[in-house]
Amino acid sequence: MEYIFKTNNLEKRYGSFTALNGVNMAVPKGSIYGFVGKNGAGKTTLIRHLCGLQEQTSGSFELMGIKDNDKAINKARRRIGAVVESPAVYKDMTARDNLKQQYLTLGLPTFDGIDELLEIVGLADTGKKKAGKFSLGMRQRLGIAIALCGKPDLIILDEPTNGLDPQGIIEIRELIIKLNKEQGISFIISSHILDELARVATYYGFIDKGRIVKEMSAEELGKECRKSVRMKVSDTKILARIMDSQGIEYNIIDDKTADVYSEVAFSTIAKDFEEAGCTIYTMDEREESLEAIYLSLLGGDQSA
Amino acid sequence: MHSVFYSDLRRAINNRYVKMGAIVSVVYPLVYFLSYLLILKIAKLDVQIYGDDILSSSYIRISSFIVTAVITGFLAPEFSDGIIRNKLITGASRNEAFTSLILVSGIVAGMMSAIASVTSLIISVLFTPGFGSLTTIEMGDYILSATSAQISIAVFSTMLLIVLGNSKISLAIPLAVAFIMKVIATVVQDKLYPTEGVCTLTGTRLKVYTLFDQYVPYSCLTRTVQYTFSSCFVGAMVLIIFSVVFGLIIFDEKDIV
Repeated sequence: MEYIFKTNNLEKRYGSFTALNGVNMAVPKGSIYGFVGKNGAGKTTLIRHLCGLQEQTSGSFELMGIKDNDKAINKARRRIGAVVESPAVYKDMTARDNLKQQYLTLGLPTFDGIDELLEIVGLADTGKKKAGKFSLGMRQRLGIAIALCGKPDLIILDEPTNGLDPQGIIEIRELIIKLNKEQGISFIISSHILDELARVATYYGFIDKGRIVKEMSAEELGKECRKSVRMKVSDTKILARIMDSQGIEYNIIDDKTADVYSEVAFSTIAKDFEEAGCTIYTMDEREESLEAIYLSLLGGDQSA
Repeated sequence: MHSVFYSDLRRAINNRYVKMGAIVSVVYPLVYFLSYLLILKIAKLDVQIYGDDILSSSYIRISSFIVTAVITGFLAPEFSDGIIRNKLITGASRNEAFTSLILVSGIVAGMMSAIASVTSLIISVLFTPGFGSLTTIEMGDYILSATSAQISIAVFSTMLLIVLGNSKISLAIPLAVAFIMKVIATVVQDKLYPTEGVCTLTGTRLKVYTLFDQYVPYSCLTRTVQYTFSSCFVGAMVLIIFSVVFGLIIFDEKDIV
C-alpha cells in the first residue's frame, strides 16, 4: 500500500510532558483518514508536525515519500492544504481577495479557478463583505477554499464542521467525498463528531496519550460494527456448542455473556438451550458504532 | 521567496493600518505647520518658520511611534489569525516567511518616511523662506538618516513581534520599547545638550550617553541636532543586522501554535 504520510516513532516532549510518544501512523494515499482521540491526546500536535509548525524531539516522518529532514519537504508541503485549529483568513479582505492572497503565496501564475472554488464552498455571492464579518461557518468554508487552492494532493482538516449549520455540514461532507472520489485527494480529518466522521472516513487512526492505539480501514471497522445479539446465559460453553452446531458466528465476552452475529429468533433457539440445560437470561440486539469502538479503545471519560 | 514576498506586499498595500500610516505621514506635517501658524497668530509673535523646523519637528519626531504602531497593526494577524501558520503550511520556509515580513516592514516604513518628507518639503518650498541654516546636502543627509532610522525601527519591531508571537501581550512590547527609548533619548539629550549651561558629563558616562545619542535610531529621531548622518546610518544598519540575525535564529527554532 502507498502512503501519503507516514511517521516513525515520532516523539515530542515539552520538558517532562510527552505530547507524542513514539507515534507510528500511516495514512494510505487516496484515503479519507479519520483521526480520532481525546482532547490533549496529541492530534493537533501531530498535525502541526506534518505542517512544519513544530519540530519533533525524536523520530521522523515522510510526506509524499519525502523525509522530514530532506530539503524538498517544503516542496512537498506545497502540495498540501490545511485548516489547523481555526481557519487562517485575512479578516480585512473579501473571500475573493483571500483566495488571491493564497494564490500569490503559492506562486500560482494566474487567478484562474477562484470563482470555481468560491462556488464549491458556497461563498460566490459574498461580494465585498470582509471575512472579518463572516460567520464562523462562512470562515470555515473560506478556510477550506484556501486549503483547496493549488489543487493539493492532501488536505488536513482539524474539526472541519465546527460552527457549521446542518446544511453546511452536509455540504462539506459531500464536498470531501466528491474531492476524494473525483480528484483523488487524500484527507486527514480530525473531528469530535464521530457519527459525521463515520460517514466520510475510509480509514481510521485512534490516538491516545500521544500514541496510536489502533489503525483500521472502514471495512475492518464495519466488521467490528456488525449487528449482534448480546446474550446473557448461565453457561457460555453450552452456548458455544449450540452456536457451533447451527453454524452461527459468535464471540464469548465472559462466562455468562456472548455476542451472536446473526438475527437469532428466540423461539428457534430457546428449545435447544432448554434441552442443553442452559438458561437464557437476556437477549439484546445491539449495533457497534464508531463511538462504541472509540469508547472501548480510549475510554469515555473525556470528549473525543 | 518571491511568492511570499509578493503576497505580503499586496497585503501591505491593502492593509488599513498601512493606509492610515500613509495618511498620517501626509496630514501630520500639514497639521503641524497650520498649528504653528495659528499659535504664532494668537500669540501675535513675529517669528519666521523655516523648512528645517517643519521637517525635523513634525513627523520625524513622532515617527518611531507611528512606524511601530503601523507595523504592529499590520503584523498582528500573522499570529492571531494564523497567517504565518498558513504560509508555513503552504511550503514557505521559515527564513522566507521571516525575511519577507522584514522586507515589507522596511518598505512600509521607508514609504511613510518618503511621503512625510515630500509633504514637508512641499510645505517648506511653498510657505517658508527656506531651510534655515541647513544646506541642501545636509537636508538630504538628514532625510536619509531619519529614513534609515525609521526602517531599522520597523525591522526591529517586526523581529520583536515574530519572536514574541503567539501571545497578545507581544503586541504591546514594540510600542513599550519605543516609549522607553524615547524617554531615555530625551533624558540623554537633556544631559548632553542642556538648555542652560554646558554639558557636565565626563568619562565613561559621557561616552555612553554620546554613543546612545548618536547611534541608537530611536535617539536619532528625537535629536534636534541633525548633522551626524554617518553615525545614525551605522546605528540603523547595526539594528537591522541584529534584528535579522537574531530573528532568524529564534524563529527557526520556534514552535508555531
